[in-house]
Parts: sequence; structure tokens; C-alpha cells
Amino acid sequence: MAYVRARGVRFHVVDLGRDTGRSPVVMLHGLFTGSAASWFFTAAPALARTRRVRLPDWRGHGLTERTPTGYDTATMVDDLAALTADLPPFAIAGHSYGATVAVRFARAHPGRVTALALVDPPFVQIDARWYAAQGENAQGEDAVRGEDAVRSRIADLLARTSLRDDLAADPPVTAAELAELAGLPMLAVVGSGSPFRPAADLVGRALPAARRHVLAGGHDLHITARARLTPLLGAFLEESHA
Amino acid sequence: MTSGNDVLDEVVAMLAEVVGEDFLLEQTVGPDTTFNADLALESIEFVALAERLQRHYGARIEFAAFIAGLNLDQIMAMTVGDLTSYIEGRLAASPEDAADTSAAFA
Repeated sequence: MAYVRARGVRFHVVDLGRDTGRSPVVMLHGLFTGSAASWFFTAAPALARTRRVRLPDWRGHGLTERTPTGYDTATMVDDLAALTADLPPFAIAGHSYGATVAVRFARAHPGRVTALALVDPPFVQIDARWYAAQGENAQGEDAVRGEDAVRSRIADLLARTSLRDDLAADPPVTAAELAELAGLPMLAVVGSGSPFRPAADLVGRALPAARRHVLAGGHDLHITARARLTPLLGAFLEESHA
Repeated sequence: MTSGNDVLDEVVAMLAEVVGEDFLLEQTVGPDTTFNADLALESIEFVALAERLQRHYGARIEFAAFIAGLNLDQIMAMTVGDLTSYIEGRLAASPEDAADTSAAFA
């Protein structure tokens, strides 16, 4: 797969690995600086040794078309359903806003998800401007990058789309939402220096059986803690029989 | 049989598809050219190049396995020559008729 037309939008989706007896894992990137590359150069290749891995680019990110609207989680859940319709039940690993969409997808499509790994999930109310500042400040967000191109992409997202308003209007995932997912194998990994570190406590209160880890680092653990996070994800998927 | 220069030419041609001919005309791409510092390739453009490589060479190369074996510093510092060496090594190890494009990278 490379480009897929779905819901009137041209999406870019990368598939790695092969179908095996194990569930595929769909890996969801965060907003602004994120893309399929976020996982492609970090955890995805190692996980692809044992299972199929799918990496979609969200609207306005990576090589997917930038639509004027549709950056709310309800639309992104429907996008994800369309981009995974051909897969058997699958696990999801989501970084940042990808984790928010993952939780809401699992609630909307209970039979489709076998396990959920949340990487620094933004389940804490913070100023939406924080996200945008990530793109302007973060060094090393991308393994390989053209920084000017990334900055101009973020500026376009903010200036030409509803993303900022959609983000502000979408409340963070709540404990009540998480509690509805009891029984689904879940892993939450947060950064010791991330503003979202308290999200691990929220997950623990809602779902005492969820596995939780704090890794040294900030928000972009998939990159800065790649060597720790990648085996954690692999082990979680194996233990979940996903 | 594919020679080393052929692989370099093929990689440069696919790179041109990804970043545009005009961009590549501004500089000479050789084995020592780095994707990050010299070409300032966006990470998603590198993914697009990887998809083209995988489609072109098929199951004889496994780009994901290549990346899985590198740490981030090595990925950041990757040169065109690092990539062509990997591809040449894999092509030398597998016969031409093993080029089944469907399995490794759908």
C-alpha cells in the first residue's frame, strides 16, 4: 500500500512486515511534526519482524492530503476505520494525539482492537498552543528532517485548516472513557519530563490492570527513548497474545 | 547482473522522483552524500524513497530489517553509499529471479 483514496481524501499508508499468526499492529503518529516516519524510523521495523505493521499518515501530515477540516477525533476515528477495513482485528500503538484517537476508536469499534499501547497520551488538559510550540522548538523530533519544510507544514496546518479549533474543542480522554475499555490489554508509557506524565495515573485509576511505565525523557519517547520503548511495545504485544 | 554504479544510478533516480529533479540538479549526489545534512531530506521523504526502493528491488531487500539494525545516530548520519552498499550486498546474496515484490512491502 502507498496511497489510498478513502472518504474522499488521498491518504498515504505504509505497510511493513508480513501477515503472521499474530495480530497486525497499527501505529498512529502525533500531530504537527508527526508522520508515518515517526514510527518508521523507531519502533516499527523491529515489530515488523513478527507481524504486519501499518503506518498511516493522518490528514495534513506526512504525504496525506491536507484537508481544510476533519482534525477532530470523531473524524479521525472514521478515517482509521476506513484505512484498516481490510485488516483482521489489530493492536494499536498511538503516540500523543494518536493515542487519543486509538482510545476513541477502541470504544467505537470494540471488536476490532486486540490491545492498546498509549505512548505519552495527552489525557491531561493543557494549552493547545503547547502542541504547536513542539514543532517550533523540538530538536530531533525527526530522525531525518528538512526543518524548514517541517516548520512551513506546521504553519500551514495552523493557518489553513481547522486543526487548532478542532484540537481546542476536543476534550482529553477521561477516566470514564478508559474504564469502558476494561478487559482490553493496555499499556501506558509516559515520559518522566513530559507534561502528560500524569496520564499514567489517570490510566491506572481507570484501569488497574493496565501496565504502566515511566521512561526517562519528554514527550517524544518513541525517538528519544527508542531503545527502551521498542522492546516494551514488542513484549506487550506478545504478552497480550495480540 | 547489477553492478554497483547501476544501484547508485537507480537510487539517485528514485531520489529525484521523491524530491524533484530541480533540487538534485543543485548538487552532485555520490556515495558520501548524507540524506540528512547534505540533502536535508524530510523524514517522510526518506520513507517515500524506502517505499520506492522496496517496490523496485522487491523481496531481495528488506528495508525495515535494515533500519531495525541501526541506531538513530546511524540513521541520522546515513549516506547514499551506506544505502547502496546494503542494497548491493542483498542483491549479490539473492538471485535475480527472487524478485517477488508482493511479500515484503505491500
